[in-house]
Amino acid sequence: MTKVDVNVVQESDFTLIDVVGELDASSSVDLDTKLQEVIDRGDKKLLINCVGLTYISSAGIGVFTSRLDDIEADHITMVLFDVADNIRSVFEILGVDQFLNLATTKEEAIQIIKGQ
Amino acid sequence: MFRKKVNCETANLHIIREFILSALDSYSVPDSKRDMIVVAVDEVCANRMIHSNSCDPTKEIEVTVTTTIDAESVVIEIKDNGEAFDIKTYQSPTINDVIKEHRKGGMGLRLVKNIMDAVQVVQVGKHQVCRLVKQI
Repeated sequence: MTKVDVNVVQESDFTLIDVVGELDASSSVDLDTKLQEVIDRGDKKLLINCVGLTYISSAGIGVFTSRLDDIEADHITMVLFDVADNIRSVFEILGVDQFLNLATTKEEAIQIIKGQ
Repeated sequence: MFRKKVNCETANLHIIREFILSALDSYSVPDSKRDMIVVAVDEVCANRMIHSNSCDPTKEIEVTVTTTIDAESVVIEIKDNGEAFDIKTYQSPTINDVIKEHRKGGMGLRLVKNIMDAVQVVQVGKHQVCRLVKQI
């Protein structure tokens, strides 16, 4: 069974969400649930650590794109960082890289969060 | 030729991905191209399992990998007994619409069409066969 581990850490200035594993039509519901919990409790600055994310399908991308409208409306900032080349390629093929905040490193992601 | 059969459960998608990775490595497909072909096959299989076979674990999906005679392209066939899908009339939503409508799905076929050189759906007897072709 495809497995993804989602670990949420509350830092002083933001919420760090580590995503480790593969996001496909089977496993993406796990991230979907955790992300919704974080949003429901009112967290406004979300950093998604993708260093351990090795695969993504459209179902995984849908976890992010389905919330972009609400995220903007609720003044939430979500930044994905340390995205592997194969995953970035999938973003680019679909054109969703134009709608997502993508940072190379955690430090760069924090700068984006602070700039909001 | 490489062949793999799994039950129609999305929990088995990773088995198909591992199989495709291994088969494409045997054909020395470059990593970047190989990784994208894996995504395309995963999308087709997920769609077939969910939308055409209702994730029925008693049903099977079979994936074969081979090359064209000139060995310039890899050919992947995904075969099952599920409902037919008319790829010619299906219109993938735009990314703007996906975002505006808060949709979690709808992008898979767009990915497949953008990654592969050819996507064909044919009926062979009782089977639905999706044939994906990519130059290597």
